[in-house]
Amino acid sequence: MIENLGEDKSIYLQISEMIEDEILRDILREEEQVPSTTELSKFYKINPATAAKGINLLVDKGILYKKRGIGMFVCEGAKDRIKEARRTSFYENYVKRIISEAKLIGIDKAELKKMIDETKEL
Amino acid sequence: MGTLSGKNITKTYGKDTVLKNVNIDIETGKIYGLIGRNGAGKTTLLSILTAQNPTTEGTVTLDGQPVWENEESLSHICYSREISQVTMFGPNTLKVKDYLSTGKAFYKNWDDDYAKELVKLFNINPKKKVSKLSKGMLSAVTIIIALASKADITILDEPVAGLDVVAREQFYKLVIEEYAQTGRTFIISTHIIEEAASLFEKVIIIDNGEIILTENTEELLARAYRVSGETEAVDLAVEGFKVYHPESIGRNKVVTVLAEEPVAGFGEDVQVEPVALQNLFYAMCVDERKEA
Amino acid sequence: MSELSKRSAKYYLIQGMQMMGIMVVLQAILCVEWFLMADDRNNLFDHIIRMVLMCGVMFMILFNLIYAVYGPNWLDSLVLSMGARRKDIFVGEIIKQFTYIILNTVVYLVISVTTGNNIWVPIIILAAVGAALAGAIGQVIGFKIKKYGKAYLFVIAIVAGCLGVFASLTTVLEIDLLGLLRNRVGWIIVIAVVLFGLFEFWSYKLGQKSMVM
Repeated sequence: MIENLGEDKSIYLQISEMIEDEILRDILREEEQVPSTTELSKFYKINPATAAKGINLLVDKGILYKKRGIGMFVCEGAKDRIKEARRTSFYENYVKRIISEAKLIGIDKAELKKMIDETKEL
Repeated sequence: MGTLSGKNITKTYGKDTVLKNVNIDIETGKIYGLIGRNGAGKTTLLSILTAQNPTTEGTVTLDGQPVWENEESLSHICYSREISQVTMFGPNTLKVKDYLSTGKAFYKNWDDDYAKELVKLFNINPKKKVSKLSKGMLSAVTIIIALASKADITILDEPVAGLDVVAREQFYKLVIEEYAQTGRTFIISTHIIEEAASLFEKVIIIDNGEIILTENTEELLARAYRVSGETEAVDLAVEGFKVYHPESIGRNKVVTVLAEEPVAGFGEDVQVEPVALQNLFYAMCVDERKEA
Repeated sequence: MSELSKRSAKYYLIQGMQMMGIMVVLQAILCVEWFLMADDRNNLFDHIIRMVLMCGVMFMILFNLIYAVYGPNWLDSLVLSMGARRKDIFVGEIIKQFTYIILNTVVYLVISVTTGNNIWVPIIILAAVGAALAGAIGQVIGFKIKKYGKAYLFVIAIVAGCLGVFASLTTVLEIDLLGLLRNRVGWIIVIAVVLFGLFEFWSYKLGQKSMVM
């Protein structure tokens, strides 16, 4: 779980992304129960309506579903669905920034390519 | 239950106009934050909305019914304000338990068990005289009364003034819990804005006796930006927008922009950052002429 | 009677009884003091009874006055801040004061009749009427203090001073004040009731616009 909420994005978006991250990292598995909106709102000291908004966003995206009387659970196939969605926005959210910073400090394409080639992470 | 509405509220004390033609609608089932500088009129507005202070002009209604001296309306409202430690006749020798028992007598939905629980939680000695309480305990008593009243519309006037950070966090947790459980309406006025900002579904900003905005917190912050860069570039980028609190340092300028709607971008020549509620409030309400 | 009115009435009734409770404790303490201080052991009982009656009559008026003055700015303000209605507070103050006065009156009447001090009866009745009137005046003073500040307390001080001077004068000039009063009880009560009505009306008007301090 993220320690602190930042001010750069709407809180409900941060909540939904945080849950998505946990699903991607297998901290939350498919068919596992997710913290309730009350638990989330108490933990982050946010308005329960905001926590609910974040959860509902994930329900709309097909990432979570509700088991009546029990709570919210991770949908089957949620992990893949998240990966797919994030792929689409990867360029916009991450790559663009790298390119703009590289441009600012004078790193050319070749240097940038070299950095990526040499990384052992991917 | 419907809306608590104030229409065309004006309040004057002699020649002093404290509230000028204020219009406000409080929808039930939400947590509101009321922020404003000292003397902006927060307490006056709240005491007028709760019929504890008569208007000079204007009306206050709950669900269409006037609130003034109205048993039905009053039974839904609790306004817990700062308890005075001195009276005109000397120190306030009433005890905490006197306040609690008065609350029990007058608040229809008073939950005594909850009150006792909270008294223990905040470590208050109910037999202690109000004049002998520390600031923190005083705030705690107002919080206990507000929460235990179980009123549909609960208003707290600066409840965290005097509380240390641990007690403040405790308070926020209690409000969230209560709200999650009961959906009661809360209106909380505070000076400690940033901590509580994520609690407020809607925020009301009052300045100089006028309400300058009432809006969903998220939607408000979605259209607020901090634009910085070279002075000329900034001026160009923010042309046509409402700009607050411009600051300059060297060849750089920073401004706070509040647009009518979220803006896609301000161009490549400037840096744009989001604005925290506290900073937006500061930018909007700081008196440029008197700025320290 | 509406639910809120009932709750207000009950609250104020209890306040009146608590005031009486304080009175009883105070008198008890004073009795001990008189017992210890008395030099004439022969008529000790009668002496203490007379002291109790005399103090009781004075306290009835004085304490009712003081509590009435405290009302608008302090105790009633607290009740108002918790959602009470001004008209219920007005009625409540009357309930509180009358509870206090009636309890006092009954107790002292019983004491005076059972100890052969029947001459005190008209005095006690006058004191009760006086206390009620003092309460009504006290409320008005309380509202004025709320508005104009502590300066108004001087009004009470001056009035109390005048009464004191008046009382000592009558002693010096050997005017039997109590005797005079005893003979005109009827008239005094009528005037007092009229004044009471006027002051209560004034108090009601002031209360209608009152705000929480």
